[in-house]
Amino acid sequence: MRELCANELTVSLKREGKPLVDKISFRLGEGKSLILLGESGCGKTMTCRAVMGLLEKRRFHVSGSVSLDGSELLGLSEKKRAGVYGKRLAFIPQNPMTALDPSVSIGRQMDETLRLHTKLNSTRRRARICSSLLESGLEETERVCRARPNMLSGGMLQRVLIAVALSTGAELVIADEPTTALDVVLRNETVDAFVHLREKGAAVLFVTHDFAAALRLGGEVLVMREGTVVERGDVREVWASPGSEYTKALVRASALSKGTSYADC
Amino acid sequence: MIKRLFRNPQAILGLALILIVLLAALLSPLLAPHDPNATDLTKKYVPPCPEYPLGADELGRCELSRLIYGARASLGISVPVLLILAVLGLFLGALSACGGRVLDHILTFVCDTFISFPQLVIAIAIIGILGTGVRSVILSIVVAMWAWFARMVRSYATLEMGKDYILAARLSGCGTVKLICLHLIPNILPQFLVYLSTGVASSILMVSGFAFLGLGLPPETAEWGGMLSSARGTIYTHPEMLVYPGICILIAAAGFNLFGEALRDELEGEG
Amino acid sequence: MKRYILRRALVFFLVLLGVSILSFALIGLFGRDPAEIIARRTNLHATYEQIEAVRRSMGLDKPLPARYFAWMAGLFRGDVGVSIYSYKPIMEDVGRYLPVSLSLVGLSMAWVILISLPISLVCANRPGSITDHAVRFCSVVGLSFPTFWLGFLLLIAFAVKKPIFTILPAPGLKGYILPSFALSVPVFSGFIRVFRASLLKEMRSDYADYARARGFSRRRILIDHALRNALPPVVTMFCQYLGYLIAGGAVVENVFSLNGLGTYLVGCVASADSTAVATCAVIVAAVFVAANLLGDMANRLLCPWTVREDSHD
Repeated sequence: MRELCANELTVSLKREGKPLVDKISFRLGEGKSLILLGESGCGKTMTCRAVMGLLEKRRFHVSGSVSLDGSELLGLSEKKRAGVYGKRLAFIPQNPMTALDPSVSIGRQMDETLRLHTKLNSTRRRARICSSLLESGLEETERVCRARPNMLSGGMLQRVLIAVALSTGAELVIADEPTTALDVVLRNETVDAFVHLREKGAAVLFVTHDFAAALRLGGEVLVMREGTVVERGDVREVWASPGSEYTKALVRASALSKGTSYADC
Repeated sequence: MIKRLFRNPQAILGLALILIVLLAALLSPLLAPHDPNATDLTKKYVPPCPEYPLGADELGRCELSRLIYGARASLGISVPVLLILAVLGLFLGALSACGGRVLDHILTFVCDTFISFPQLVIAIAIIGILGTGVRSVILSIVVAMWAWFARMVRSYATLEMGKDYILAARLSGCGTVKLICLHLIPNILPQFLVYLSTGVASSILMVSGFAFLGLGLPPETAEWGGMLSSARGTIYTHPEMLVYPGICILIAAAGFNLFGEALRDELEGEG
Repeated sequence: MKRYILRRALVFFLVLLGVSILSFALIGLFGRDPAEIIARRTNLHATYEQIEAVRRSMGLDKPLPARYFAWMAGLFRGDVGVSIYSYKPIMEDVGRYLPVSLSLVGLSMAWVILISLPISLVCANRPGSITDHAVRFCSVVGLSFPTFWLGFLLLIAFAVKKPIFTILPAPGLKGYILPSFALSVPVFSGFIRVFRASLLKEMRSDYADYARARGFSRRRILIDHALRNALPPVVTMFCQYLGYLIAGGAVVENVFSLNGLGTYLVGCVASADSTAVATCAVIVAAVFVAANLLGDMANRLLCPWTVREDSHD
């Protein structure tokens, strides 16, 4: 891909009027990362889900445009969805423990994803699965493939999700708070996995409330509050000298709780 | 939530049907054109006419009047039954959940035994002792259904007791009985209402089922199940006699079920 | 797993014990006098001596607990005596009537699966649509149908107006079609409600969400994933109904003139025949509890991750 472009993306509840996401615009090019940063309820997850087309049509009204290399993503039909989502665009959900079907083995679920998006035969699929699991940092590929989700830890499941993104060769990876459910050590490893994805050429859209994770990833940041962007710029610059009052408060809160400065992240 | 309920078309329909049956039961003397038990053999199987709007049955009794009075029998039995079941269920269920493990095991075992027991046998046995009549029918249904209610209250109670706010209340010194009355019961109440409503429907169906088999009310009573039983012989000649009482049972049971299920949908956030 | 089976087997036998004691107590203590019933069958004005003679000859003069243990011993031997209602050996009666009830229930459950499965899937695929609302409404109405009335309606429609079936049951499978359908209507109505709700719950889960994010269509997720995970409450319900219907089918048996266990039970209770009632009640309870156990085990096998160590039920 060359570019993901959002133009005046607006999300509101059908029942009430006030928009949850208010005319957000951004551009994300290949090999770059874009971070949506903010507290809970600021609309970053909504933005992310709107791009993914995961918002229920009955409850939400989505307007504006989100285009991938010029073709519109909002309102795609079921058939066209399969051509984009999962194939060119991979999603890493927030909670790895519940993201997969608990009754089916990991291997089978990864296999069905590949069967949907590629034309590889079963041997090749197997190979692809194993290589992406290895690349994601999981060494016991046999065990993982045979296991059901409840048999693996949160950290391992997180890597499985990243492996899924790797296996389809996605050009754009969207991650919804991937570090929130994990402890600090795993947090750094997870962020590094996204750095690795970006270095391989994928674009990364990273949603988080964790400034430390954002700093570690690097890239452009959009600080969000109540559905709008209050500040944007390179994440390290914004951290060093925040423009708006809100960002200043975020930086303060983050630094206080971590007891660190940028240099340590 | 009550406002939401009143915007639910199913709930409204259910309430409307319940109201119809309730009014028929309460105001039967005013609504029925004739005495339901007045026989007149000269008017046997009269077709519908102004004097007998739905015709007459095999003993010349006005069909419409019997149907209207039938509501009395059904509701007159089902409502007391459910009130008794409510009290019994709440008491025993809460006891089972809060009264210690041994008591819980004993009560659960007794519940399981009763639940596995064929309801029909219970009914026939009880009616066998006490003879036919409203009291025996009420007792039979209560004995048949109490275990379901107790079990339902117990499972909700166990769930609620595990919640944090109960722990908080206990820590601040709240005694068990007070806990049950102030916290448990109000929180169970909505779900309990669902079971009450659908319970009335089940009871109506059971009453008519028993009456159909000849158990329960004296055979001359105007009761829908009994009327169906009497109409059996005329399935070829007067099939409509089989249709009317059944429609009444359906309307009564459907009203309570529609309301109860609508309430359940609202509680579980459906729609 | 072994401890679980052992524990459940214990409960199984305890419940059967409870049911048998309850039957004997209910009928023996509170039922009418069986000796009197038998005596009055032949002679409406039987004298006290005649009734006592009958009582002695049928062994009904022994105290209730003694009769209970005699019955239990008979159960293990395979011979529990003669029924007061039919004058035939009880086991023979059971052997004749139980298969009828089992066939009826079996066919009913087949209808239930055939009808509720596709309808629930269609509803879960389009929640909130007109079809969905219509089905939901109809299922509640279906629950409210008195089965015996439905039986009559079916008879009127298909045996009187259009004689496809006969009023008295035809031999073989044909005679079971209408009654099993009548029996199945309230059951599949309840089923559709539960199954649909369970399917929708699965479709709202995180894994369904992630599958959508990976490009799978709703229908694919419904059939490949949600269906399997939605089964536990339905399996439980299925097994509960199985047991309930065996005896509860009496009303339908009555309408369609089928001679099943339900009808037999009614006759036995009316004749105050404690041994026959206890035998039938125990059999029905055994089927019920066994079905429940089966359902529980099936759920554990299907969805092992939902098993919790402590749960009592």
